[in-house]
Amino acid sequence: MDFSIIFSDFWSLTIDGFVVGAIIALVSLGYTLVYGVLRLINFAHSEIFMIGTMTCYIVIQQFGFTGYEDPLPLWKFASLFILFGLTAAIVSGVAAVLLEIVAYRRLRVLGASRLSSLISAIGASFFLVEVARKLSDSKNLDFPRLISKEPFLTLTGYDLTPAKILLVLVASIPLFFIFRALKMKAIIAVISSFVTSAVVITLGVLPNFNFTLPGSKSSSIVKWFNDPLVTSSDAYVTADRILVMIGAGVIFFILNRVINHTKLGLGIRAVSQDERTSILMGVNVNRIISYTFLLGGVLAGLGSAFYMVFYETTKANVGFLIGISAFTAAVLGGIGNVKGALYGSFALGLFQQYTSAVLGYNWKDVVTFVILVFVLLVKPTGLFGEALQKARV
Amino acid sequence: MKKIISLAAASVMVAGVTVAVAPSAFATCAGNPKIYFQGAQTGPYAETGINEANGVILAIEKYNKTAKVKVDYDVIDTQASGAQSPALASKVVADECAIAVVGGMYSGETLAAVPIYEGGKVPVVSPSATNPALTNKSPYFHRVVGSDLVQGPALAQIAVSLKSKLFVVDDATPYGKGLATIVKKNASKIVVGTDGVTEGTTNFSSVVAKVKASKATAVFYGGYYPEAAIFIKALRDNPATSKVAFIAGDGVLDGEYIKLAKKNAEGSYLTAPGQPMDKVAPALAKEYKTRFGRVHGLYTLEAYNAAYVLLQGIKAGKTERDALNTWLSEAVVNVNGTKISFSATGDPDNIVMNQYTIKNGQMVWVKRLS
Repeated sequence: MDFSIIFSDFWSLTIDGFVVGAIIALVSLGYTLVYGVLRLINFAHSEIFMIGTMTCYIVIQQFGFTGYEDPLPLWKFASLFILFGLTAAIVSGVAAVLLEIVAYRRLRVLGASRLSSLISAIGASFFLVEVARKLSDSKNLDFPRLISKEPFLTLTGYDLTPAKILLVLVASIPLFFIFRALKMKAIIAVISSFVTSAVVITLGVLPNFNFTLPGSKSSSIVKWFNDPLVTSSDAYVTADRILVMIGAGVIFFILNRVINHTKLGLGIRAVSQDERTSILMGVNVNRIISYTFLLGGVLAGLGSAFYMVFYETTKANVGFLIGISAFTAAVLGGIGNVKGALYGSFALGLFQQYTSAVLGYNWKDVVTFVILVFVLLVKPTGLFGEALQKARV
Repeated sequence: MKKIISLAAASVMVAGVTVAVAPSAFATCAGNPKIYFQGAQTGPYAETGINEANGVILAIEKYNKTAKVKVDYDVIDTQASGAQSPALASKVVADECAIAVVGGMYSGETLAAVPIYEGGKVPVVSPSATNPALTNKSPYFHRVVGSDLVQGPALAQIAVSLKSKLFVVDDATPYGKGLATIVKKNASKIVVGTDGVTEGTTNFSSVVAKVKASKATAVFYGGYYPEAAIFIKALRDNPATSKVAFIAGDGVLDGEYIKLAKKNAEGSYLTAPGQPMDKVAPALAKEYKTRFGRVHGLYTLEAYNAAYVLLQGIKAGKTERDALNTWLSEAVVNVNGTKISFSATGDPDNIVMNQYTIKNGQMVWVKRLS
């Protein structure tokens, strides 16, 4: 067990954690939205994601890129990305709606138990994976490199000395008063001022800035203050990582608007709170359910486009691992709760990145599920489940 | 969860099938004796499997031109999966004409299938399963290649000769983990870090961060080419690890590796007990190309040789499974410049190890290591 890697590679692990978290979140939202309206885990949702990745692959095949040696100029990449991203979103969305009609609607109309729907979800998932396996010959499908993965931004490595920690603490005092003057709550002001000064200093925004405590060199106290505790190494931020983080951020913002400020969102919220009352109020429940599946599918399709740019490969059972992560994240955050799925995904992405660096890749799932069980024991509705229960979704 | 369900279903099926069909295996065969190939014909590992199967087909076709007792060919497509191979092996055992098996292709599927073959007394000759656990596994198991007890030290030797600081990664399969353990043991002085991933993963970013933090100058990957291709890309994309030497065993040495990793595959240090067919048997390599319209792969020659040995036994009149197996334990066969004979443990007496690299998108033989 080596904890020093957390400090020495903090930023590269954190950035990748956010990237992985963003992709998980886009899939996780589909699980949570459907659960919100139907109280059903749509186990075939991971295959909707798979269909998205396959669509990206097929679209890009039409252009005959090998694309690896010379990444495309930005405008060309942007137009291509929008093309295959939107196609994947549409195909995944339509697939999700069809899935609902074929696998769930009839069972629901006939009033079958939730268990039947669950089994039919698993069946649909198997069916889709095996069809994709047949069609792709279960080979790994290789996506061309469309965007340069040279570092776009380098966060310079930095020696972290006690003297600098002291500086962070001192620098956060005036920041605290500034934040207070901006009418922030005291506790939030304390945290924000500390985080701001820590980020400014450890991020290497001032790479040549070297703060040492003055004093005689022989003094052991001065020496202790000026010796590095850990040396962080350079972290590289590539264009694809920036794309995933910003792109996902924009999508979450739009989703938030849709859920909270549109008639469709109102309908989804109404059905998830009380289906029967919604019917009495004149909500067309079947249509709302179809739209919910469409929304979940579109999000998974967009996620698959980011996935393909970041990982550049797919296969028939690509949905399995990411589906497990997304489902876990949704449960962790409180299933049925959009904010919970979002925070749960980022928490999971970061957490898995840190644990696999410290303990080894194979341990990350062990630790993740121990934490999940622990969270559910303490708070069975998930981290955000209960708090937002009244205004679900 | 899906995986667990399918695994459980598979094992239930295996248990059922074995019990149900084993007795009928001793009925007499009406047609020609049949040699099966066990390996992947579809799936991510199909490239290696098809090239091996074609080697077997070529050997049988050449033999049938002159033979009195003709031999038939059949194949079981395991997709190189240990979950699928036992059920398919029972199918071979139940086929009364099946006299022998060339295979399996990878260690995991072979380890799972050998007990089934032993139950049906079917002799098995593997062209490419290298896990040491197969040694002494069954009197019916043989292989024409040396085990990872030879390959592991050879790989460690490459790392040492590069004067490297070595980071060892494995994929938790019997082959990958086994080979990585041997490399770690033999290069213990230069190992600066280890990690294990799962087969099928795409996210290598934490592993790359660990390689970076360990300041390693070489990485050993114990596993197969689909993941190796993703891993090497991730290493080369990070400026801090873009220069590390990439060392791997025969599971990575495949045309698909070059196709998936592209220019990142260049200069990899790879080993295999498989011999360079175009150097050792150029005439046969040419024949292969005209027959199948494709260039031979790693282990095509070994698959051909394995089938050839079995065919010599059939030629000597050993057309019963048990008789053929007894014959194998004493046979000494010269084929394509290699003398093949098996020790009592099933390993070959004559062991070779070769080093390969990737140059200009081609697999290139470097030298013979032992």
